Amino acid sequence: MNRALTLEQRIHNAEACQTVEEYKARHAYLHGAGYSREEWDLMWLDSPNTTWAHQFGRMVGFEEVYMNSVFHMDRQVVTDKLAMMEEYPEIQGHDLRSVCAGGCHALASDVMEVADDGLSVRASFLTPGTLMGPIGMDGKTRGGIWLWERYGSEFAYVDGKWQWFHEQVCPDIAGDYDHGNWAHDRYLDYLDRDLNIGELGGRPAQLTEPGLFHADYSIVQTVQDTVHPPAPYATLDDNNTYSPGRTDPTGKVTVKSGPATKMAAYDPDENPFFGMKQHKD
Amino acid sequence: MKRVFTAEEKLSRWEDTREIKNLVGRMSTDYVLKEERNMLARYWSAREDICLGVNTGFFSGREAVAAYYAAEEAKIAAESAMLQAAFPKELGEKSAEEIHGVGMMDYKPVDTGVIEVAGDGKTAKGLWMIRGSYSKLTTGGPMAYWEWSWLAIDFVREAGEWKIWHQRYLREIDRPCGYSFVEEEHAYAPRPEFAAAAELKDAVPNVAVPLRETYSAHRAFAPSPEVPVPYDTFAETFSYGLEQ
Amino acid sequence: MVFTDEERIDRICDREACTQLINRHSIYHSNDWRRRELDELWVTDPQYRQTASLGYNNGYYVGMDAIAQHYVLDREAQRYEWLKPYHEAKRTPLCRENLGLGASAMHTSTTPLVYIADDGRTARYQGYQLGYQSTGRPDGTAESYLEFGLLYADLVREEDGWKIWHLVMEHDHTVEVGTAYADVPVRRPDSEDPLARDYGTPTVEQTVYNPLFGWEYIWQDMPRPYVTYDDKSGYGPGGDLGKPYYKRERR
Repeated sequence: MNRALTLEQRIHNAEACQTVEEYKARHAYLHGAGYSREEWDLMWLDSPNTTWAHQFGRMVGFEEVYMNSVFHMDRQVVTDKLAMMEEYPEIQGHDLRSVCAGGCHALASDVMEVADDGLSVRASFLTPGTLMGPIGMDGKTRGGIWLWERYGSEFAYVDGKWQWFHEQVCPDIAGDYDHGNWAHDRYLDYLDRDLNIGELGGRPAQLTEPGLFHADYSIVQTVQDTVHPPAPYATLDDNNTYSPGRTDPTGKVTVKSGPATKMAAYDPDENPFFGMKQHKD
Repeated sequence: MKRVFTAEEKLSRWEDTREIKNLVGRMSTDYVLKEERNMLARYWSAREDICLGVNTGFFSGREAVAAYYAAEEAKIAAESAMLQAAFPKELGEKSAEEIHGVGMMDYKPVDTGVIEVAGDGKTAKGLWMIRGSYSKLTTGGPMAYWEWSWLAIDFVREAGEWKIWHQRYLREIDRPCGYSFVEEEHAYAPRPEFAAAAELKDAVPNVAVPLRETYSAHRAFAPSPEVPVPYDTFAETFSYGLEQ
Repeated sequence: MVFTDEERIDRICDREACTQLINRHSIYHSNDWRRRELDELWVTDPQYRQTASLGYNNGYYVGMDAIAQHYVLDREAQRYEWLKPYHEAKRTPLCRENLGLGASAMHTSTTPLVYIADDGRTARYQGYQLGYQSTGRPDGTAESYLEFGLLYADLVREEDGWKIWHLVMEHDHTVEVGTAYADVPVRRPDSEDPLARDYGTPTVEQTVYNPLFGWEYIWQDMPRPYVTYDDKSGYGPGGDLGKPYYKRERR
């Protein structure tokens, strides 16, 4: 924490860190319950430079993030629940988004730095989380998935309040509670040419910056420092960000992105593991 | 603690707490990044009387703590070399630096923290839980483990920054994922390419006073390290170091 | 609400103190330091002691006496029961010093969401527990479970700091270590969950959480900025936790 500031600035910075704790926790619970609209409407910055990155690449602009994270998420969640009703009619009459939800991307190992100019916060986390549910994604049996990821998160102070600006999610390992041994199983899958890397985040319908931004664990994966914990910094810029080229909340772009790509037409040739399934077949 | 703090002092103490969380969060992330080789320089005090406690005893003094991290680094390097030899097509052309930590994952997420900063602001204490998972090479190939541990640290403020003075990193559960917490540890059939994994050894503490037996069905109940309580100066509280 | 700089600093420190209070509870809970927890971390003011509550999926223990009976005394009796097989097999003395033989537990509290009331007298907390507990047997085996669930709390400021007034430990999932969770029948009643043994028979029996329907009411239940405490949105037996929509607020 920079203490060579006025008392007012230091209070502002401390409140900023606690707001980040609040937003990240609210996100964890609302995302776990399928309440995407409530999250994006309340906390996210409506800017062309708002970004949300995952294994599959980077969504750019609030509208693209909103479309993929709210519209399409809603459709997926409700479709899944309607399918569940076939097997479990007792969930009829309940809230379709949140009923049977309960996955928590739990927060741990938080590191936070507030910019010297007081206009942004950068934060990193480990999330040893779960995707559990009384009824799992197959709509039939209990869901016991665990999923461990790293987060790089950035927040901007705009119009007198803190707003979520950038998020990058880096899934590393996942498995089912509590059977199998993830390291050994993935090793055998690799030997069998049956390990598909880059599938932990699903795929959005369209994306401005597709590509493999972070690979999940394999026996030949080298260390990836994708979202390094933030160091003290002066201002959010291309040297201090998880979203280079998109650091100006008003929309000024320093690195231009291409037009959004429909994922159905996307050829993931940047991902060397995609060929493995084909090799086996 | 009898001191009454001004508003600015209260804020400073909150900033201390945030800085300590940042230190522990960075160190936790460095395990994922296989940065054990840099932990002593990055996070520890420059004092000679630093001390690291693990289940089997204490690494007491700067030289001993350095030896602990050197042994950890040697294991990482040996595992990386084994994997490079096992996967020449994928890894054979890469340098030792490029393959450092390849194919092994180590998550030690820290949470549930209790932090107390001394009234005099010179030291601080923290206790956390780790609910982790890591992989290592065995003679049967990679094996993943669930890890549940306690992390207890005395911090000292040096040149305006918090540094680790004493640390206890004590594993309670350290068992292969997907198997019993107490029964005989599962082993995979040996593979010749990983025979050298039998040679991977943990460092031996220079003060062999066992601090914690990992969980078993015959172990007496073992609570956490003592929880930090408010204190004014370090002399009036307990230590996570060798003195206790 | 506009606060002075001093008030803002106090509220920053309060929020940290509230998070750490629950973390301390989680550590004491892991250690089975239950009497110590009630003595050190829970309310001491008589007006709060009477209305203090500890909630589980099936209801609330109300008042510190009822809480102590369940949380400390009943638990101690349970631990003696777990010690008995060791006594029978190995002549291990049945005494307090041997309680916890072959046992282990860690209950984390992660993802804290904390709000201090505008009046500064109470706070609301939500967190998520990912933990485990294991009970050994004299033959060297053990009953080991991973457990998951939401935490809710009302905290109150007393003279010597923040204290727990209402605590709810909802229980979501129990996974037996080394087995597949998918093999557990979806429709198994909560009362048949192996860790439902921790609930006991509360003073006020009512559904606080139904794990079959998961986080259905989390939007309504999660803490949010508030002015002053009221029972209805609190986490005690007078609150809405666990009530279906039609019993909460008719519009």
